[in-house]
Amino acid sequence: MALGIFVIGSGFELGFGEWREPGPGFIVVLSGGMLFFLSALWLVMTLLKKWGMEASRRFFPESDSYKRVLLTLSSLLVFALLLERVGFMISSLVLMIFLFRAIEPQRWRLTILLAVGITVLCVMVFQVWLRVQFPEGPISIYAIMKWIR
Amino acid sequence: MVFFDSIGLGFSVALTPTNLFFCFLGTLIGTLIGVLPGIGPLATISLLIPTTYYLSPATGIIMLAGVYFGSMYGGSTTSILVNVPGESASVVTCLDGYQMARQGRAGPALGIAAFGSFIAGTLGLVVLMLVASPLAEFALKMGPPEYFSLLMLGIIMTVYLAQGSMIKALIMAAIGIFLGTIGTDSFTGQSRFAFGTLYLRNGIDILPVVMGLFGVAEILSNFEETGQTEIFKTKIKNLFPNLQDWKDSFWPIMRGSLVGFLLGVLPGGGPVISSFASYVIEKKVSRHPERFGKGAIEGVAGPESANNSCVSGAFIPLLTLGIPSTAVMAIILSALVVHGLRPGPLLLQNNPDVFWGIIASMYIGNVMLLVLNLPLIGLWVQVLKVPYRILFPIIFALCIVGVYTVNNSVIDIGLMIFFGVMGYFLRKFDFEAAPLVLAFVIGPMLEDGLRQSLLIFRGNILGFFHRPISSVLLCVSFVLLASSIISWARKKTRVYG
Repeated sequence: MALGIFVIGSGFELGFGEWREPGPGFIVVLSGGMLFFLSALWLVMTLLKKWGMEASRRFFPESDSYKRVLLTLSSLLVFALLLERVGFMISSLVLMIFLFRAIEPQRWRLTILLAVGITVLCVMVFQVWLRVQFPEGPISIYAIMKWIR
Repeated sequence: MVFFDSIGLGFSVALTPTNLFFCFLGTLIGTLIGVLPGIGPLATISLLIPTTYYLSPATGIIMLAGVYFGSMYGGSTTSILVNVPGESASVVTCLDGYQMARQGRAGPALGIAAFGSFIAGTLGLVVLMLVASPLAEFALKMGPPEYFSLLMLGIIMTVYLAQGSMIKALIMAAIGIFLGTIGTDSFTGQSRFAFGTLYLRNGIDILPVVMGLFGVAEILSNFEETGQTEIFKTKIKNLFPNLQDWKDSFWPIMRGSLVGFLLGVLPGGGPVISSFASYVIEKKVSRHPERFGKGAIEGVAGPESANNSCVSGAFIPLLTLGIPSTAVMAIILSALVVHGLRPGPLLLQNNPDVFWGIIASMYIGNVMLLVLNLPLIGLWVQVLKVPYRILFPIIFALCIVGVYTVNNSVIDIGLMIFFGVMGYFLRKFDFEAAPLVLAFVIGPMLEDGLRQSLLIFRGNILGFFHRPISSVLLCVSFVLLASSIISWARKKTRVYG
């Protein structure tokens, strides 16, 4: 509902125009109005339903579910922050090691093997073959390839 | 003669070694993701769009179409052997497919799913070939009011056919339309919701939205419960169904093909609904409905045929009118646009090689899937044994790389995380993300159609009803909406009153 009010307000600010010459805010106001009206309707219906019955299920099915969800989201955010600072290879390695160890812990040997394997595969397919420009950082695949040659 | 020339042109494009290779690759990837629970065709096709930048438009779309077909084939394998649908269009196959496997008939179940899919896919493509050209010519006569009315019908159909609450689906559609307005207004050049950033001035790209709502949200939801899927240990033998199986399955395959195709053409239909519709029809027309859910082969043949012919049907509105009927088609539409192609009636005129090449390659893809899938079922079973805790970081890595490659921007990764969280909570409250994605893509077209029409009609909204096609389309939309509201009100009166 709050989003609906915001969208309607912004739509009028952008300029609703007239029916014979709609402005840039025309469809914005219509979508915002639809959002507000439907959300209000849904809220009323949900409240009516809640009065009639007990909450039927838990938000998280297992006691530590929220931990896994939060850990994963945080690791993705850290990855996004690290990417342009330390480059794709290091940030991908860190993310993979974290995901393999923190969510459902794997043995260290398997973790390292998979983390390195996935990172190398991504770099080879996307950076070398498809020529995607990944942030380089201190470890550059081109430098490694040059060194190997 | 022109028709056969066009088909010839299509096959000459589809049979080049490069296109054959990418068609094969697409079907292989599609089957793989169809087999694996946790990643569906929508996220995979989104993920693969950046890889098509380096291919010709026809080759890129051929690969993506292969993924879509392949996922439909692959999904049935998991449903039959594990009782866990690899993707949502195969949910209904679990009911009888798994029971058949438990009775030692996994082979015929897998076989009829593959043969049914092949027959339905082929029939669907034949109709697609026949109607595509006349429909594209007809579409050239349509103006902004007709397009607006058709798009409106698309959104209403999506909401009408949504599996959950209609209000929730409408809320999702409204959010999708709003998200589609972010960026520069095509009429005035004014920025909308850009908050002074250059990034938002270009609008939100569809990839972070889809990867977040379907890729990240799916993984987060799967994390909540630990545990390992049990693969039903059975020897898979006699993949070729016997004569009785064929007799039992012939009409379900035919009916499934028809239902799937029609629901594919209709906006909002999609493979999930078509497979459910086919199952319900088969159960209704059967002389022994009590056999359903206990291993009836008709319960596998019908839905599996329906979800495949639905894919062929879904290409009709996309290629001829430029309107996506499902969220996956919306992604394929954006892939075509990325390649500088404008899907719609002019695609056939300006790029007949792409148009007919895609259609011909879909047929080749179907053949490949039949030839490949049956002998490789053992391999797919092995793939199923890879634990999810090993798979999810790989899926994450691919999501991140796929999203980053769109604009080489970390902001896209941030947006993906945002939509991932949003998708996770939407799932918690039973909101479907598909209407949002569809409305997000067709929202800007809807806006253009509405504003242009109102300019033409000088603000008279009744002008839509003065044009026959537009008037019929809008009337159908109103009837659908009204019937949903009436049935909802009746249900509520029964509950509360």
